[in-house]
Amino acid sequence: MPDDRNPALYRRIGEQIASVRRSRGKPQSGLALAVGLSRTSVANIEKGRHRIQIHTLYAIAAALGIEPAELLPPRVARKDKPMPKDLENKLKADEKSSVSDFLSKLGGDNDAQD
Amino acid sequence: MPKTSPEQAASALLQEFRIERTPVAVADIAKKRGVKVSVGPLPVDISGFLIREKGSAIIAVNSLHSSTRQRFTIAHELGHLEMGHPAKSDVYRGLNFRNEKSSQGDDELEIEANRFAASLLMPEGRILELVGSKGVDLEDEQRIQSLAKKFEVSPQALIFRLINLRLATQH
Repeated sequence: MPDDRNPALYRRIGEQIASVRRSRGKPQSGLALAVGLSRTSVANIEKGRHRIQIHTLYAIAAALGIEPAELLPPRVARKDKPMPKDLENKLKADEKSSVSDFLSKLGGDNDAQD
Repeated sequence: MPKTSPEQAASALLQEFRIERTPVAVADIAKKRGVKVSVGPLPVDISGFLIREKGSAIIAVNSLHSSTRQRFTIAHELGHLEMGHPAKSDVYRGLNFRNEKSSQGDDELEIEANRFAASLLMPEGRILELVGSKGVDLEDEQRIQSLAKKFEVSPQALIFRLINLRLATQH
């Protein structure tokens, strides 16, 4: 039976949560404690095995000090903006999906301010 | 023709846009050059990256890093462009102050881009104006902090720059 519940989406959200969590130097257990989940649940969310609920997404964003939207990949299909090969070769395997998401958001209004 | 040094390239750029004030508005300079600067969350090991396509360039900056690091990232990628480095893209994984001198081979261009960034954000003339020829005591944390703030760079980036300009004194 084909899985129509978009497992790739949950994997990408999970990767993003894991990436931000690590950047904050927070272990899975610390994040789990902050949002009232077990460490195993957090691990499952980060792997995309567990489909995160919206209120949990908000709690995790709050615990990481960012907006929930920053954990969400863009709606557009990733194929729309192919990654230059040259760039792809310089990325580690686990970095590709998040860089790809970044690229598909380009053209938005998130320009840098001085 | 002698090759332009990163320091010369940075100061030429500042002159071209008549920038005398600090903090140097680095994102602004990039935009005036026609480079798109885009800020958003990236994997933690990546400070930013550069993509060059036909006639246009995009600098991506990791929003999860501090604003001083974001500025350095923009300046670094801008350095690749200004110095005409050949690669079509660059993934910048941050400045490693300790290994800067011992790197080799491919890293040469990375070091040049870092030197460019340091010179762009902390112009020698402006530093001299602020610290004089006597330099700064690196143990004077308050002084380092307040200078770093003036340039909107990290204290580490400032210290590294002071050492390179031989304006650092140590007990």
